Parts: sequence; structure tokens; C-alpha cells
Amino acid sequence: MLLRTAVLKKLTKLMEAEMRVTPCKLVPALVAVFAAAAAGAQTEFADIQSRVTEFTLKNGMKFIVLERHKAPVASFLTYADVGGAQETKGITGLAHMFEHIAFKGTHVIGTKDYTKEKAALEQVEKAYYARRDEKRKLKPDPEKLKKLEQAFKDAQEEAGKFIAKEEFGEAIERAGGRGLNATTAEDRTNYYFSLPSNSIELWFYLESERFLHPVFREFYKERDVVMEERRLSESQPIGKLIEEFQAIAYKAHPYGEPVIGHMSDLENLTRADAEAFFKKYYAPSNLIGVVVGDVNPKRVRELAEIYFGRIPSGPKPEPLRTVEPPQEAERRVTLTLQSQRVVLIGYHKPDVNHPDDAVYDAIGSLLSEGRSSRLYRGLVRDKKVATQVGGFPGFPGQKYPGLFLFFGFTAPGHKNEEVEKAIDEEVERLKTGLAAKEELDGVKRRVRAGLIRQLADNSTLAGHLSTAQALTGDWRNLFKLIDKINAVTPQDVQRVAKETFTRNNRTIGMIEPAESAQAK
Amino acid sequence: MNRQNFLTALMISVALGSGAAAQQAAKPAPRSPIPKSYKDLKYPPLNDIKVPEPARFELSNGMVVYLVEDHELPTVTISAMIRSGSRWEPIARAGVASITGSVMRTGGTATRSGDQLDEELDRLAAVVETSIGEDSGRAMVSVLKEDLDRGLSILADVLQHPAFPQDKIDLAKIQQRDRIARRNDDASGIAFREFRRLIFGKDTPYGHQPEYDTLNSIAREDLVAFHQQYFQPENVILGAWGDFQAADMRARIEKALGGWARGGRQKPPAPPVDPAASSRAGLYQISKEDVTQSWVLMGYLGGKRNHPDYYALTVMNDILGGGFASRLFSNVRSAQGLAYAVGSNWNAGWDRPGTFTALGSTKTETTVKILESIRHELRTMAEAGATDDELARAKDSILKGFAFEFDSTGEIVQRLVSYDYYGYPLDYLQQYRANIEKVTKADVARVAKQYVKTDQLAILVLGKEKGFDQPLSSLGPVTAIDIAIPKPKEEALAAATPEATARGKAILAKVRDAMGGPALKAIKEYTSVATLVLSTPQGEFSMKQGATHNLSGKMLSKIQTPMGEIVSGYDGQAGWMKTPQGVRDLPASEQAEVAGTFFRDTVSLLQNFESGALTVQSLGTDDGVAVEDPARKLQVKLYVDPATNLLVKKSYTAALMGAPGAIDEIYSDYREAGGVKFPHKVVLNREGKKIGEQTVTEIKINPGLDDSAYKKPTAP
Repeated sequence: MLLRTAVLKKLTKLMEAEMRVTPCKLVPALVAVFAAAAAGAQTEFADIQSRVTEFTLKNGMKFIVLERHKAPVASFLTYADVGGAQETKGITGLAHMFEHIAFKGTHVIGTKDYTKEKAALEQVEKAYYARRDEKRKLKPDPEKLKKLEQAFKDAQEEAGKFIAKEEFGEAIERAGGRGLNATTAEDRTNYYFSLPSNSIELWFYLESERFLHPVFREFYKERDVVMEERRLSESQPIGKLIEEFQAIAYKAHPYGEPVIGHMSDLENLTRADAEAFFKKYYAPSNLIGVVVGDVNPKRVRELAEIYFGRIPSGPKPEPLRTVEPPQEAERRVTLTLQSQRVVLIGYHKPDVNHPDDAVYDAIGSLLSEGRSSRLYRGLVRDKKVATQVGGFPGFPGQKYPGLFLFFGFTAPGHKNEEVEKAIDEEVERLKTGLAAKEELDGVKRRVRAGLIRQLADNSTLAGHLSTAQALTGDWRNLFKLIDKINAVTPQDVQRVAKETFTRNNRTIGMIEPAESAQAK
Repeated sequence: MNRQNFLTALMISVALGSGAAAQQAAKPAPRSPIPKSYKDLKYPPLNDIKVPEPARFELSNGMVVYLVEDHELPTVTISAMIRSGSRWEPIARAGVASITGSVMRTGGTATRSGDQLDEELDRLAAVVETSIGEDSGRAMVSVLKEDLDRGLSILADVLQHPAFPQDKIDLAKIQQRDRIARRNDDASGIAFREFRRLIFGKDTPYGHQPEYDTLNSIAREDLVAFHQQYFQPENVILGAWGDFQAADMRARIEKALGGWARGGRQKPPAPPVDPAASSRAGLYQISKEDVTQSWVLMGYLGGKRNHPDYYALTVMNDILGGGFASRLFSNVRSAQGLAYAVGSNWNAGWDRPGTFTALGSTKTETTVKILESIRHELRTMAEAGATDDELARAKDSILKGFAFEFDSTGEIVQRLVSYDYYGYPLDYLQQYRANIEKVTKADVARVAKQYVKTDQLAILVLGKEKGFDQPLSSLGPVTAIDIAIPKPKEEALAAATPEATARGKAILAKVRDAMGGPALKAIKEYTSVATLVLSTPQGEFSMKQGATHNLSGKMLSKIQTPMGEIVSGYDGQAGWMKTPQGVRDLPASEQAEVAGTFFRDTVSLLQNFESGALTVQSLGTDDGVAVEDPARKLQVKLYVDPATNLLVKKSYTAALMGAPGAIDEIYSDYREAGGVKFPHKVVLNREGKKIGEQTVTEIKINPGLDDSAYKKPTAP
């Protein structure tokens, strides 16, 4: 809930992969959710907390329901506790790929005749593997390959005849639904939309269906779509920089891999891969359903039991084993692109459940929230070496140890090294001096005001509640952490700064303009 | 009603802060097994949509105010629209609207500096922002309710008394320059921007953009004037919502803003769109080498939101390229896997026509394929319209979701402010709803046929042509769009430090000595005879020139051209030209260049660089010096050969043979005449390309021309 600049929104968008090309309303992995402040937080947020109910189905799926009767609408969100971080080499991009497939329908939605379609889809698989096997040969036979390409194309066309196009999305549109979309991040995958509140049963129907029996139709076409999405990210210099930066900041942990996946992995993803991924990670115990709006919690529970209760329980997936080892030396990467200068600097930090998490949020706010913040004043106003600058925790995720990330847009006529140096000076100030009381008071007040402002939107609330529940085990921590922020002292800030902002813990990525762009 | 529903109803009326009648909460449907299809689901009637009734009043100074109470959260937000915008800024000062809008906030006021404001607002967790966009200015305040008075007071101050201090103007310019520098970094940004400019026209109110030159031309007085012109209370419509009592809020607003005196200036009407915007059909191409994906945008000028056909067009567009089930999404993306981003927009304007755009982006190798695929969908729509089913879905999508228009008090209030601002009726939304309901299949077919004109499309393609599946030219004649960012005419020089000035003067002193020292100082007038060879697209032209330059500000030049003799002169006050056709005054554009010519004369510079009127600074190297005449905004850069201390190059911006550009004069073959060294070969470059060469055959020092020689001759 910290205030964000348009630039951060842009960085954020590049970090997540989405289904539709529309802005994501939810708080992305980049933003620390748990900053909130001011004494009396418990009473201030007592009303909203009193309107929350929760329950867990026999199969392990948890539900959180928040009543808000301002308008006859409701927002829904399914939080799947699986993201890019669950991918291994060879299947990067799979979590996001599945997210796309989840819009393709089920055995009753999106098909004209599932029996026939199923058989046709099997043919598609056969044709795919036949073509793939030929391609893999040391000397593929060009004539044979051509025939197999055609056969694959024909099989897809044949299977396509049974499709009721986009029935899933259409059903929601027909009901007056809004905001249908999904996003995949490193930590989780979110599926969401909103409906007029008399039609909530439609969400239960469609959403439970899609996790009960998804059908992976149009898989290979959708794989092409995902590759286009990757190319979109590649066409943005900052997207390229982030990918390179992540890769060197992490040498072991999957946080170093892009959520969108590497192109060669995408090119080789199979339907079987996606099915296995779904089986492993979409057990109901790995899902959280959130409903916020003009609803009756009793009715919500009834519907949840009827619809989601159908999903058979499954084992919780193996937790991720890999822990990123401590960084031993500074790492750097510089890209030369047709672009203006950009600087990224990252320092490793613990995950969201660490006792110091609130201190990191406070540091972020102190450094870069508002025009009187230290980075703005130092770099934009005074030294004029950057036109935009910021620093915040939570990149590329919070579930596992992430980074505290600084970014700077170098001002025309200035060098990246000047921005790097200036950021370093601000970081040193945090380590050598103590933050003033007024500064921390400002942080605390902004965090409180930020949380208050976020309570005015159903889908935003759904996102925050699910994130708090999934990452910390209790949605109440969304509000409880206000007290944690209140408890942050100037000494805490200094201590955490000293521990974190060390040279060997640092990764730096930069964009230098290519020759032709130099002239600017 | 059971107890649960009663409590629900009570909460609804409490939330509204009024004694609204208790609502009928949704009755739980009887427990049912899961129906075979979601289509069989039965829904209860929708709970009533609460439409808040705003309080509307007008201050005595003409400001209009809308208020809606909302006690859900302890916050208050004020959002105002001001009749202003970049569409009213002079194109030569493009950027002045945006900079005025941002410095109004960052620069503080007469009583609170920008930095003080920043601190106060950050500490309060309050937000006050101002901005000026294309067709409106915005001012907004967001505060916790206990800070309402502070917020109002700051808003009133910022609107009425912005200080526009130079340091914040400079900062705003740095940020604008950065935006210009970065505007070609992203492929999608370029495509959308250039498509818009293509339709509306580059140098029009709706298509222009800030450039380095326009930014350099903006001075503080321009901001003051822009603010003065547009920021008057009768131009302001203010909307406020949050945790207040309407009557009390009204009193506070009257107190904070009622004293703002009327401006009495005319409210500007929306500038019309250039008629040429309706005839942009054709193929356009932007080359970008460093991408693996192309953007294809096609469309033309559209209409307004209050046009009778707007509603049918909205429905038609939804079917064509609006949602998941649209033709473009399901055929181009899902069925063919060609694109991630694909769709269409009937983007009607409020008070001027908007644009219709269908677009998609695809890998380089399928660029023409997606172009034809999208165009095919447009054609199909134009020829056959939509099906009953598609119509029903599109209408349902809009109508059944109507409750969403009322789920945010802020959106409700800002919508009303917009309607008032653009002169739309306050119940426009309800009218819109009713009109959408009326749209029939025949209507959709009619507007599709009438408005989706596939033979009149402006089609813009951005990408790496080398990799296209087909050359674009195979589809028809292609116009290339040049997106290169124009260099500034004059690089704004940093303020000269005493060291740089001293070093610069030392260098020029050496040049003066090398070129003749006292002999150079003694020059009052000199003549040079030369052969001039000009390089033009039509070929090379050779001519003889004799020119006399008088250091008191007079000049006479005679050129023998293939067309005859051209004589031009400047008598110290005015210039003239004599050609075989007769005598006339020097055209205004050339008159303006005369001052520059005199300023840049080498002898003049070397005689005058120590005078107080000129600013000198070394360019950070030992061989470059910049000389400026700040009063007349003239600038020249001189480059010296350190071995000889003679000038090797002179760089400046001027209009030479047509358009203004960066000019270089390159000197060589120095020979002595009358104790002074002059270069006998001068090469002329504009923007790095050679445009001419001068070979001097004779130099005469102090020839002693009579004053009358410089005067405009009387007609023969």
C-alpha cells in the first residue's frame, strides 16, 4: 500500500505475466503489503475485520469472505500458492502457461461435444509427438517433416471444430462480469473477476469447474500466444534489463528465472507438462478462495461446499528446497540497447515472515515515498542526476528471500555511475546516521493512510486478504502489522541498513544507450 | 425477512449515512444440485443500486461544486477539472501546459515554498497534485478527514498563487527532456503515439508534442501567462466526496475558494480537428531494428460520445474487438495464436471526434499475416454485421454490469464533474444505458457498413521490415514515418564558471594573436572575393562572390549566379536585395538571420570577446570555446588547432539555404593578407552533410567603401 509512481507500476507490469493486456489491479509481488501504521490501529480497523468470515472445506480449500454492501457487486479471487518459483530448468514459464489454459474451459464449458473432442485432442497429441520426434533426429527427413507438420495442423483444426469459442469468458461477460483476468508472479497465481451480486453462483460454478476438470484445448496455439507475450516483454528495454538482472542476482533459487519463461522452454512445453503441473500444484489445499462484496456469508459457504467441495483433496506439494546462498561478491551486468539509461541496484533480504520485515517497508517509505523523500531530494531535486528514483522491498517476491531494489532513470546528460554513486550515498546515510523521529512518523502515517485508502475497492481487498493469508498464515496480519510498523525505531532502521546494504550483497544492472542513441 | 437480512439492510442504510429504506437482501435460493450447464443457473433479482444524489451549488465567483457524502472511510478527496489543456497551447511552446501544471504544485506558492509543501504533505500522508493534460487541467486533494482544512487551504493557494520559481521550472524541463529522450525506447509506445499523430496531424492541437526546441523556448513568463489565462474560478468544476457533512463541507469550500476573484476571460472552445484528419488512408511504416515483434494499428478518425450512432458503435466494437469472446480475440489470438495483444477501440471523444483503432502485435515473421487477418475481420463485420447471439452477449455485458458504475463514490463524482465539464447532461449515464438497450441487430449492421470502411484505413506498421513475411510495399504504396527525435537547435549551455570563462578567453586571445593580433584589431572593414560551389539535390552550382563586411554592422554581397547577379546589403538598420527582377527588402526570415551573421563573424568575435556583452566559456577541452550573446540569444562554438592556434571549425545553428539546422564551417588553407591570416578554404556542412565550399581568391583589408554602398538602391 505504499504510494507508487507510474514507473513502479510499469516495472511491476513487466515483472508479472498476465492473461489479458489490461493493468493489474492487485498488489504485485514488488509491493510490500504489510506496511500499516498509527496507534489505535486495532480499533480503526475493527469494523472491517468484524465483517470477515472464514472457513475451510474438507478437501483443504480455504475461503475468506468480506461483506461490503456499498453496491450490489462482488469481487472474487482464487489464489493458487504456485508461481514462477515452482518451476525448474526446462519448464520455466509453465505456471503462467497453465494460467492461460485455465481460460480454455472444461469438459462442460467451451466444448460442443467433449467425447468427440477428447478423441480429437488425443490425435493432436499423437501428431505433435510424431512431428517432434522427427525434428529431434540428427538428420530429419524434410519430406516426412513437411507431412507431419501438415498432419499436426490438420489435427488441430479437426479438434478445433468442437470448440465453443471462449465460452468461459463469454459466460462471465453475459452475466455483466467485469475485470476478468489472471496474473502469474513468482510467488503465486491469481484468477479474478467481479460479478453483479445476484449472480455469484456463476463464479462458484465456473471457478470450481476450471480447477476440477480443466481441458487443455488449443494448447499449442496458446503456447504461441505466450511466446508473443514474451516478445512483448523483450521489446521493452526495461523488461530485458530486469531479466538479466534477476538472472545474476540469483544463482540457485528460481527467483532468478523470469516468470514468462525462456523462449526455448516455451517452445517445448507440452500438454503433458501442463497437466502434471496442474496435478501437482492445484490441489484444493493449495488454493484460497476470496469473496468480497454484497454477499451473505452463509450463502457463500453453502455454495462453496456444493461446488468446490467436489474437488478431490490431494497432497500438498513438496516445498521448494533451494535456498539462495549468501552472495559473496558484487555482481554487475550492463546492457547496450536502443534506449535511455536505467540503473537497478538490488540487495538480498529475508522473506516476509522475518521479524524485520516491517523495517524494510519503513526504509522503502523513508527513501522513496513522496517528494520530500531522501532519494527524490538527493538525486532528482539536488544533484539532478535522475529524473525518477525509488527503492522498495519485495522484488521479485516475498515468499522466499527477495531483494530490496533501487531503480533510477538517469537524467539526460548524466551517467549511470553518477546515479549509482548518489544512491550509494543515501544508503550510507542510513547506515551512519539515525532517521529523525518526524521522518518515521511520516512513514507510519502514510502507511496507515495507504491502507485506509485501499479499503475502498473490493478486488484490491480480495488481493490483500489472500496474500496475507497465504504468505503469513493469517489474513489478520494485514491489519496487525500496523502495530509492527509503529514499533520500528530509528535504531532498527540503522541496524537493518548496516546488515543489508553491503557491497558484497549488491547486484547492479544498467542500460547504456547504443551508438545511435548516444546522440541524445 | 430473517435477522441476517435485516442486519444487512441496516448496514446498507448506515453506510449511506442516511435513513434510506431497508433493502431487500438476496433471498437464498433453495438448495439445488449442480445444474448441467451454467446457463441453467437461476439468479434472484439484483439488489437495488444506490445512486447517490449529489449536492450541486455554484460559488458567487462561478466555480461549480458537486458534493457526495461517503462515511465508509475516514478520508476526503477533492478532484477538480479546470478548463485548460495542451490543446490550447501554442505549438511553438509545446510543453508549456504540462510544465505549468506540474510546477503549480512543485513550485509552491507565494506563502509556502514547494519544498515546504512537499514535507508537510508527506508528513500528513496527504496528497495534493496538479496537472494539465490535453483537454483539461486537474487538481486533486486526498486527506485523512482530520486534515481537511489544511488540504483545502493548500489547494486554494496552489490554484490561485503559484510561485513558479525558476529552479522548479528547470527541474520540470529536465524531466520533460528525459521524457522526450525516452519516447522511442518502447515499441508499443511509439506505435500508439505515432498512430494518433498520423490521424490528427503532427502540428495540430491534438497531434503535437513537446520537442527540445519548444522546451528551450519556454520561459517563466509563459507559465505565468498560461496560468493567468485559464485558471479562473469560473473555469473550475470541483467534486468532493468522503467523510464530511455536506452543509459543513459547503461552508468550508466557500471559505477556502469563495474569495477567488472572477477572471472574466472567455472560456476557450474546443479547437476543431484538422479536416485533413478524415483522409489519412494509406500504408505507413516505422522501422525498428531491435525488436522481435511488430505492431499493426489500423483505423481512422471516429466520432463523439453524443453522436446518435455512438451506442450502436459501442456494441459493434465490443463484438468486433472488445472482450474475450470478440472476433479479434477469438479468431486472431486464440484460434491462430498470432498475438497476445489484439483488439479494437471505438474511442469517441467528448467534444471532438475520437479515433477508431483495430490493432494487434505479432512476431516479425507474421506481420503481414496479422494485418490481413485483422482487416479480414473488419471486412466481415462491415459486410455481414453481427449475429443475434453476439448482440445479446454484448448488450448483456454492458447492461448487466451496470451496478459496477456505482461501486465507487469517487468514480461517480468524477463522472458528474466530467459531464458538466464537457457540457453533457448529468443523467448521461442513464441515457447511455437506455440507448444501449435500444440497439438492434439492424443497427449494428448499419453502423458496421457505414463506419467500418476497410478501403479507408490508415494502417501503421512498426517493426523490423527485413524479417516480415512479405514486404509491406507488396500491399500498396508505403509512406515511411521518421520518428527520429529532432536535435535541439541550440544546446542549452550550462552556466559559465569563472574558470571556464578565463580559459575560454585565454584560448581566444591566442587565436587573435595567431591570426594577426594588433593588425586584426585594426580591421574596420574587409572584402573577400571567392568562388562558391553549392551542393544541392539538383546538382552542384558554382558562382563568384564578392562580399564586404563592415564591423560596425554593415554588409554588401554580390553573387554572380547562372540566373544573373544577386546583390544583397545591410546598412546597419535594414537589409535589401537586388536581383534581375528588381529591388526589394530582405524577407523577414532572412532579416532575423542577419544579427546572427554579424555576431558570428570571426573578426568581430575576436575583437569583442572581452566586452561585457558577450559570455565566453571553454567547452571543457583545450580547443573549444563557446561564445554567447545572451541578450540576443545567439550562440556560436569555435574550435581551435592547438598547434597553430588558428580556427579550424565554427559551429552554430542557422537557416542556410532553407531549413534551420546545425551548421559547421571548416577552415583550412590559411594565408596572410594585410598582416592578418584568413582561411582561404571554407567547407560548409549542415547536419553533418556538405552543402557548399568556398575558395577565397582575394582579401582586402579596410577597402574604405562609402556608406552609400550599403544603402538600398533606388529603383533604376
